[in-house]
Amino acid sequence: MSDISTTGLVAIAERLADHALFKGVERADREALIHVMERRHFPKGTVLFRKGDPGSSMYIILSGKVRIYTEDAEGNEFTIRYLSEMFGEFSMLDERPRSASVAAAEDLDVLILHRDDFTRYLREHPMVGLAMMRNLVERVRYTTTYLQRVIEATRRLAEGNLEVDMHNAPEAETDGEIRSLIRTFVQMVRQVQTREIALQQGLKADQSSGEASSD
Amino acid sequence: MSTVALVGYFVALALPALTIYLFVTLDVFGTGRPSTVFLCAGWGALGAFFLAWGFNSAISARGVSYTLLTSAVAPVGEELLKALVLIYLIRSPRFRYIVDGAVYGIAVGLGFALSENLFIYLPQAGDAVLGVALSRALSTSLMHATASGLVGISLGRLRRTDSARRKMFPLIGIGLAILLHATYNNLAAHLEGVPLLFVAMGVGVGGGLVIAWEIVQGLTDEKRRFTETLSHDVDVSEGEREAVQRLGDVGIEHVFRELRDYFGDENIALIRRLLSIQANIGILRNNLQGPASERLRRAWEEEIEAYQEEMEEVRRQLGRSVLLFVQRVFPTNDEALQEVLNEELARFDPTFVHRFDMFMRISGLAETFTPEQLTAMAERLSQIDIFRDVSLANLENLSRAIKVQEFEDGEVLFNAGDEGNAMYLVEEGQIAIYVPSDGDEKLLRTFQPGSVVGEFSLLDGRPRSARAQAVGHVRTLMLERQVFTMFIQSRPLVVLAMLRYLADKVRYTTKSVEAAVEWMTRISRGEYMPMEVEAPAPQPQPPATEVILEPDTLSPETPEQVSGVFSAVASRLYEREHAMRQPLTPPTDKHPQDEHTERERNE
Repeated sequence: MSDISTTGLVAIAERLADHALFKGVERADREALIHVMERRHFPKGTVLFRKGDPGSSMYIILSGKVRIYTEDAEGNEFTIRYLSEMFGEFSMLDERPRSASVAAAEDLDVLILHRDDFTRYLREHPMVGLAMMRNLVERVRYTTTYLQRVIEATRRLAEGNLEVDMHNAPEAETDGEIRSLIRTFVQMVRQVQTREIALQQGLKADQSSGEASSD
Repeated sequence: MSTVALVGYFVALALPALTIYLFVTLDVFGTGRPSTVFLCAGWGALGAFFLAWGFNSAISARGVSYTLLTSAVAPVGEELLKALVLIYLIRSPRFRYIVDGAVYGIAVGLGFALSENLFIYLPQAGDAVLGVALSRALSTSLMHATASGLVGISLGRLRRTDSARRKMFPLIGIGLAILLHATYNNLAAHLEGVPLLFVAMGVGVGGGLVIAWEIVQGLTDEKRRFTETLSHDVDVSEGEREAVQRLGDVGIEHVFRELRDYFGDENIALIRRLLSIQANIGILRNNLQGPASERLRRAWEEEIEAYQEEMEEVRRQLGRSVLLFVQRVFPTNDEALQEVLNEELARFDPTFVHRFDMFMRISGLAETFTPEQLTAMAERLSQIDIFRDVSLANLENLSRAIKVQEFEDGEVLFNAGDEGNAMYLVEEGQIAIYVPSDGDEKLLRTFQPGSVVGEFSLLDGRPRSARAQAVGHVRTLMLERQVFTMFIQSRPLVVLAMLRYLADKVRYTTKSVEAAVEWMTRISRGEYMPMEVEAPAPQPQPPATEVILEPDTLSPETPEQVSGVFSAVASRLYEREHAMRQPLTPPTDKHPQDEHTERERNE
């Protein structure tokens, strides 16, 4: 990692700070982390890795975009989303197989952090490991809390309690996962309500028409 | 000029050149730079020598006898002139390291002797025997180097010592130098050849011994000063409470700040590393004296070996003079000093020095359990998810910090909002968890013996979200967050193992969220049919047995459980909507089976 200018380095270090995994990591530690990364270029279309490949490295995108996708048995590709930030951090930490495939959607410049380098880095910067641990725990706590709230509310919905509101939930939620969870939940409640109200009105209309005809 | 004379000149030049070359390449400097040594030699050869020449000529022009000149006047004048540059250099704020004083002095002396040989003795010797030229060149160099070395070291000690007698040092130094010089000159007037060389060697060895003695004294002074700095405010009382306080604030920074002025940033980093490695070796050796299983002992011994290898490497990288300084000022066999030093290093470098292990010893906690108990507790810890990937040796070490805590029936372990400062392993009795609910509270669940309460508090210390209360007499094994943090701070591999588990956990939670989102999307569309859940890739952990809110154990639902819950909810919703439709449509019209096949057709 030699050809990144000081200003470039600072900018990337700032981006790291925005990432939930590196929250609370000192600036000097972030810059040192960037120094142990490998810089690579991938032309548009290159497949970086495929779902199920053994994974042990994390990528920070300097320029360009990647496409995250899966393939079915026939080789049809299903694009999940496009990314221009960071990916693969969990594989770097737990060395589990990749959960999706990734290809360069544009010409791509990336910094790669390999697990071995990260391990060596952690010996010199143990506080970073502690901060990352806290961040991961926070994320699990936080996701679990919302998931449990959604489950509880859905259960109430099933019992006929349509007065569910999640408005006090996410204020400045930046976590896309939680946002989509809440959005889907609200949409579900609305749909179920609409359907049931329609059915109830239909029922009433039916009943009243029944009553009318019985007259 | 004859070949013999040429050899004489060569020797006269080569000797000082070689010595200075050795000074530079062996990196004997503390604070000094090679350029400073050249400056000294240059002053000796040019400034001091020609001033002395002029001074001596002026004196002899006034009719002073040659004998008086060589035996008294010249030694005084020459030593004072040579000392000028030393006084200048040693007074400078840059000067820190007493040994440098000696190095500078020797360089001045060598420079002076070089000029003396080139301009006086060798021309006088003419075509004389090579032996004479050689003995003159060698013995003059030895004498001047030793005399100025004495001045240099004494000035150095003046700078660095607090002793009340310090003002005496330079006087003694210059007095000794003049005495040495005069003695040599007197003897040299009557001797030539080999006997002269012997005298010079005697002068050199004698002066050298004095210089060495001064260096040792000076370093002892330094050691005393540093020990005082380190011991400042550290009282040697026992007990855990004090131990925590003692490990709380930093005093060694003064020492490192001062050492940085001595040896520069690069050497300081190495010295810090060396001292910290020494500290860890000492700490681990202490560990070995306490109770521990064979496995843990082996792990400690292996760690000691690894540190010893690293220590050799660091020693190789440190210059000789720096190493001499470290060994003299922080000797490993001075246990009292090491004790204080290690504590200070642990405060300063908690991410490298094993503070946890020190704490265990100081607090006396290390003696609580037998090796068998420790092994059993390590096994227990390894059953807890967050410790899944941590080695048993590490868990056994950590187990040493566990405390047995008992609670009477109804006693509260913690309240909602309390700082999450410990994890409890339930051994006996039950722990009930109550959460606030509509102004009242409800029983969330009860922990049985064998379960663990609050392990995630170890990692993030978040306030408790529920109240924990003893049901019956409760016996727990408690691990405090503060001690746990100390433990992992100096053990990156443990952190890495826990990160591995946590990353898994996040992935797993994400899968659960995805399952929930997928189900809710289906329910929105009115698709109430069970779907084939895609089995989550390799199972990171066995699914928990019940879906339950567990605020302080943080066990998120597995994707399967989430699907189960939503599937049940979907059937319930279907039944309700179906019941509402019942009066409108014949019961066979819209059956789940039909909807299922209909959807499949649409796809």
